[in-house]
Amino acid sequence: MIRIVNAITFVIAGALAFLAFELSFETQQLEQQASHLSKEIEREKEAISILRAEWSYLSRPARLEVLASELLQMSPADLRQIMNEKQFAAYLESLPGFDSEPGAEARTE
Amino acid sequence: MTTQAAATAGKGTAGAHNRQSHRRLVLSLIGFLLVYATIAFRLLGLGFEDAPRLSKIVVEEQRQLKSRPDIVDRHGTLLAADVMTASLFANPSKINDVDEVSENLLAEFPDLKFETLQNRLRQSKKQFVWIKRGLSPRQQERVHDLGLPGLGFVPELSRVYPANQTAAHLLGIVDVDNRGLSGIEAYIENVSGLYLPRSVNRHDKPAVQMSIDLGAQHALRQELSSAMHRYRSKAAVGIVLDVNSGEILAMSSLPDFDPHQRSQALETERYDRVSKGTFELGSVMKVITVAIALELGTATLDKIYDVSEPIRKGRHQIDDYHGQKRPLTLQEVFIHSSNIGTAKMALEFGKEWHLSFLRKLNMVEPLKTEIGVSKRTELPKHWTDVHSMTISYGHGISTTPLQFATAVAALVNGGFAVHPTFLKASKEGRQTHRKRIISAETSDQIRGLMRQNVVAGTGKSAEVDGYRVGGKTGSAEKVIGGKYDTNALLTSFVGIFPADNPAYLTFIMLDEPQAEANKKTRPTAGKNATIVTARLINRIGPMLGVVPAKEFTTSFDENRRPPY
Repeated sequence: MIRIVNAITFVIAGALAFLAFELSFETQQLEQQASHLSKEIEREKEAISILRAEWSYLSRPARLEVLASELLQMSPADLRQIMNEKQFAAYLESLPGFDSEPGAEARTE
Repeated sequence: MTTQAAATAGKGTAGAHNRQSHRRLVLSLIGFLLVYATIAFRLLGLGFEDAPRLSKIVVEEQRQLKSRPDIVDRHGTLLAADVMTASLFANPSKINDVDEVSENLLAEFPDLKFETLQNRLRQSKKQFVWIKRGLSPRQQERVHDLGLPGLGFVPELSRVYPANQTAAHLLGIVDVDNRGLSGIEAYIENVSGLYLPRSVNRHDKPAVQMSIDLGAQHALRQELSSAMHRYRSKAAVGIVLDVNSGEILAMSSLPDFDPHQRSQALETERYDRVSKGTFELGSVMKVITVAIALELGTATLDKIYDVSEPIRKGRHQIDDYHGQKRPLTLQEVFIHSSNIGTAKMALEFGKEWHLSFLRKLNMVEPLKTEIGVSKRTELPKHWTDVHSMTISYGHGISTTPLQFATAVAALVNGGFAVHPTFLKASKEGRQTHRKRIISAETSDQIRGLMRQNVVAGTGKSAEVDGYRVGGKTGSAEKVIGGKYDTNALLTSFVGIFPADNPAYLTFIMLDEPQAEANKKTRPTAGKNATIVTARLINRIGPMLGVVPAKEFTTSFDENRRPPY
């Protein structure tokens, strides 16, 4: 009787100990993984902040202006190029050969 | 177990001894169970407890470094940021093969000197010698990959300004420990909630958003620098201000400095003239004088002033540069910039009103903004009528360009007080503090007068086809050696556009501009500051989203003729 109880208790204690060690081990693994990941995240954030600074440096107006005029033959917007939709419609109408209803001819044919 | 205990109890006196030993057994069993359970729970607990510790350490390391929030412009473009750099050091006592190490390092950093490197590495008693500071992450990785023992890195944060000099005075500088010394950098230091030293991971800090528009800022700086070159001026100052919200869209003072080189910022010639310099601005101040006269009702647009004779008071004589030598209406006094006319106007409303209005316009007390307190305005100690007369056309009062610009903004935005800000204002914030300074009618008249100055007066070359620019010129003689020097001018132009309902105000000032090459005319504001303004508005107008209109639609009557 006592032996049985003893045996059961030992088994339970053993099982609990095993479970505890198993869990502890698993936790350590996960935690290592987590610390690895958070290191990785920090490194990525660091890289992002450097890339952001680099991007801003490369796209600074002083540089873009020169590049745009030399490589794309672009110049600052002229005031006469800015118009609202009505003015724009009128401007399009005034262009020679502009068809206000494209496709209208195709339907009648 | 309880059933067994009950069964033994039923056996009577013979089982009394037996029963007692049973009870002891049960008790000890329970005791053992409790001990085992405690051990098991403790083990389980220990297993869980350690979990968050290691991953925390990495983050903690990051927090040790003093870091600053990013600074961005009104559209979110990066203006200043912290980047992590690494500095390489060596522990000579741990280096076995000095030749191998120095060879590898020289291959990576050709700028290092072979001999100094060898000497440093051979100090085998030392534990720490610097090799190279401020490595880029890529260089750090390559050195790390060499796998040489005895080398290590110290992480350091350095501040970078991707737009270089473009907004130098606004951003300010930081010291070697990454602490802000001037400009917005100093503001971040002083305002809690922006500068969060260690409590927050530096990547999670919210950026500080400024009111400036990097595109407009660049355009302003470039126009000023080309003007300095074209007119060979000593210095140039420019401001672009939203007249309704008080937001500074662009501000530049040349010569400026490279924010990456701290020593440059301390050179006296590179100081911030916009808020830390006071100047006798000259005729641009007539905008304020005329506004006071119109607001107090001591004059109307049609009132006649006889400017044919200079005013003599004691040993002072007030004369006109653009002399008309005939009676002029107030409007003509303004557009031909008559000193005599404005001086008479000032006498009419008197010195008390003059001073109290300047005070109301924030021209007297130093102005506090995010980039610091402006230099104190210089005013006469005992204000006499003569002072009032000279101040009416901008002499005898030295003020900062920033204060002057905000005062004029209040006169043209419908009459509401303006407080300049370098931080982007929220839409709600714009509506709150609107204190009326002058009536809407007076404001409208001032806009009309400024428009007329560009249409028919001294500011003609400030006109931009499509934007109805208004403004006022100022060409003040500088005081050199105690007296006014006719050859050293400080020219300026305060501009508004579109003149009938201004969105933005511009202020351009040039210090001692010279006549353009192969031109002999006197280099007054109408020959330089106005031209710079026109070029500037042409560039920044579309950027700031001001829709051009061909028709001039102010309530002011352009065909008004003097009634004589």
